[in-house]
Amino acid sequence: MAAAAAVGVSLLVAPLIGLLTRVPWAELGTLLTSEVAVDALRISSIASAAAALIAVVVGVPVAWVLARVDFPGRSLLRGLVLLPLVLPPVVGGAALLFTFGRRGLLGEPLHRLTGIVLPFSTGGVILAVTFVSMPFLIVTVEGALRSLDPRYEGAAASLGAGRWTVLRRVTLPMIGPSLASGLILTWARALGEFGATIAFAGNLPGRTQTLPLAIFVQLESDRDAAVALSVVMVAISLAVLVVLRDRWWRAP
Amino acid sequence: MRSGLDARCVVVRDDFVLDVELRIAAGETVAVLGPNGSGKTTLVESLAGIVALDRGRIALDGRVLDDPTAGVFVPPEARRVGVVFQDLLLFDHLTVAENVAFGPRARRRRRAEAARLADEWLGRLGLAEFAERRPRDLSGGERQRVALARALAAEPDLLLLDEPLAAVDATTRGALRRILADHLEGFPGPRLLITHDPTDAFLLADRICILEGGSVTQVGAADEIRLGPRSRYVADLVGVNFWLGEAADGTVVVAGHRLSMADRAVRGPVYVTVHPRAVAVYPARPEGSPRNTWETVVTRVEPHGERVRLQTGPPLPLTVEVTAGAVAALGLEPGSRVWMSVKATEIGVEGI
Amino acid sequence: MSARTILIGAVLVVAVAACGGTEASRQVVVSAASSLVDVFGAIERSFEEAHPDVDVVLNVGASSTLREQILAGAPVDVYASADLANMAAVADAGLVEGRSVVFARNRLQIAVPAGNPARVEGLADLDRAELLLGVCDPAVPCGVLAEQVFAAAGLEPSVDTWEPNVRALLTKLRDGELDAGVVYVTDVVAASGEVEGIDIPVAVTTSYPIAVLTGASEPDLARAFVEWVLSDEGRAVLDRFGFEVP
Repeated sequence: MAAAAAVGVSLLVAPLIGLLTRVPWAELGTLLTSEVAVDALRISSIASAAAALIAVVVGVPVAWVLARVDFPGRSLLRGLVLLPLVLPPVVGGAALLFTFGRRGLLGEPLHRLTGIVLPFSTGGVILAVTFVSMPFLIVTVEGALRSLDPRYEGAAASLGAGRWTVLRRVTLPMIGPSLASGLILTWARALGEFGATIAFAGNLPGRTQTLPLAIFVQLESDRDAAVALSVVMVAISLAVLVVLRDRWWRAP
Repeated sequence: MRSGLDARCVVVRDDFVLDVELRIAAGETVAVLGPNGSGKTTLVESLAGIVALDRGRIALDGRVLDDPTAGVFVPPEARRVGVVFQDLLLFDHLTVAENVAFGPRARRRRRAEAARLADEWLGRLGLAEFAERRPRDLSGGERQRVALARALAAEPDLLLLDEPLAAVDATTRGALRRILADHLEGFPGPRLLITHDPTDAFLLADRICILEGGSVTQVGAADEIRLGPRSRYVADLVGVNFWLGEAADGTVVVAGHRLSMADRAVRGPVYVTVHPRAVAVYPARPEGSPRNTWETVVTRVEPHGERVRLQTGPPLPLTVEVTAGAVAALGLEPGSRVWMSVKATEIGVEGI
Repeated sequence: MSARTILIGAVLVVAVAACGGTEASRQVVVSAASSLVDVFGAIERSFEEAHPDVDVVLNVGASSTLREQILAGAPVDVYASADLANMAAVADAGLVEGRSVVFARNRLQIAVPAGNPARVEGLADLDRAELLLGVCDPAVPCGVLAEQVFAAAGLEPSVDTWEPNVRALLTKLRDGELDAGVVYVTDVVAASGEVEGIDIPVAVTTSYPIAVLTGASEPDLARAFVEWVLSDEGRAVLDRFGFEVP
């Protein structure tokens, strides 16, 4: 048992050590303040924050509908909206291209009517990372809503609170911790998104090149820069785990 | 216009139908007493607007809240029906004061005004010192008072109390019941108390409705129901002998009659209960006599299938339940002289 | 279960996964640049017809990706790069057997989606601001070449995406998501009809070197495969796919 665990642990931890042995610590500062690095950090920050925001605005209502409204086809709908959790992201990127691309199902009329082109724009990056990351928020919040006794909302209503007030003053605060962890997961997933972004939004420093994209192309041209950016990703991921620790480690 | 509650609630479930007519005048307290599964919760939910009626009509002070035939359904937040829930459902993410201010705030009172109202109610219910605490940090009795304050601060037109004392331990129940009685008295609208505890019903309600299997089987004042139970359940539960008494040193004086009891610690005014089946009936003075024995006369014989209820006369009128076989063997009929016997451990005593 | 059993089990799983293919046949692993995917596919088929007991495994990727894999010790028999620089890096590491040989040349073309919706006629059009233009990332050979083309023509076009390899760029041109891109002539040939090629009057070409690697597990087969590519049959296939054969 312990031996198998040791194999498992080394499988997971050894690559991290391998990465850390290649870190050019002395030049880390210079590498991380290069134009490409700063651009990638900026695009990633914008896209992941936007994805988290969009997920709250439209993902929470989706979670609410899935948790609280009984309608035929609910399981099917849940399956569909959670599909990006398991779908290879590059498939998601291709699907986005066929839908929101300039010749896509919705992208074509959008382009014809407004002149907006989503691929190759920062908006396209946001769309791609939101597509991949929002299900994390939905699945977390839906779970929380399911375990929240709906009678608390009934109690609030009996005190005169309308639906919006109930949502704002009772439901959301009561699922607050889950909402926060869902948000962090969504944000972290958005930050690490690669496949859908490169397939849908392309790769242009300063506009669509996120941290993972920069790492990918630099791995072959400027190894040190790629490793330096990787360290940033590892640091952020570790921070996320530390923040979530209390919620996950304690889970029964 | 304070015409009170006028409701006929019909809710149809797969395996259950609730069909209850209920009229409660302003300032009147009605208790609905029924066993588990009798439809008490469904009744509360239909009045609060959590469940819609299938048939019938609910009117409160002349305002129609639910009438499926007329297509009227007023949602919970617009009903002005205050509920104290069985498990309270206090908001633990808010302070006690914020819980109480929730109703006024939801009804568009200004923040300061809502806070003032909350303070007022907290003061009335002796909760001022807990204002900034979280409900979860309070004792059961304190939480119960917070729930009452929260419901009353929303200024409802109808007050629903769903098993308000069920979650409270026995030691605080008496005190809490008195607080409840005081505040029910101060509430001007109709009040509906849902309970399975006859003591609550007897002490808090003006009228009692017995709910069984979704229907009302009996309505009346506490004494009417106690002395003339019309069903097995009522007889079992409500037909309990019940008095106010004065306890001291292991005895309790009830209607001038002294009874021994097991609990030597209780002292002062108490409620005393004796279950009808806890009383033994003998044709002559029993041997090795238990302390609580006396001779009396049977005044009434009332068969209920295999069991028979007897009413007995002075010195301590009692409702007694015996088997039909015993009645036949003893030849009991109104006017028969019998000896009564109750063990000290069967005398139920609860401090007021 | 002891640690050793588990470890052996894990190694076996990895080893079996790494082999795959038809049982008992000999394998030669060829790492080829993305732009070679179609032509090497055809060469693989003809080579396998001539050598029924041999299974050619094509490992296709950006030349730089393949270089990194080889430098990191990947079990590869033959490396075919889209430029000399990546091959030189592998040779400098002492991983090339003998010398590499240039077997084909390629040049760039402007590719536009079928019908040329943005009406691109030449290099000068790439300067148009509203044009959605894609090129390869400068980390891969076709990106380096594109930069050379732009520099020689005195252009600084506003690029909309630097795709990580030429095939990804070609896909976006095919779908019409980009108005124009700079790809190899051979890619335009491969995308027969779905993209149109427009010649670039700047003489920038790339050379494709091929070499047997010193770590080859099947050195004889590897040499045979390289010879096949350089043979008349191989040259005919390369020509058919639009490559210039030296």
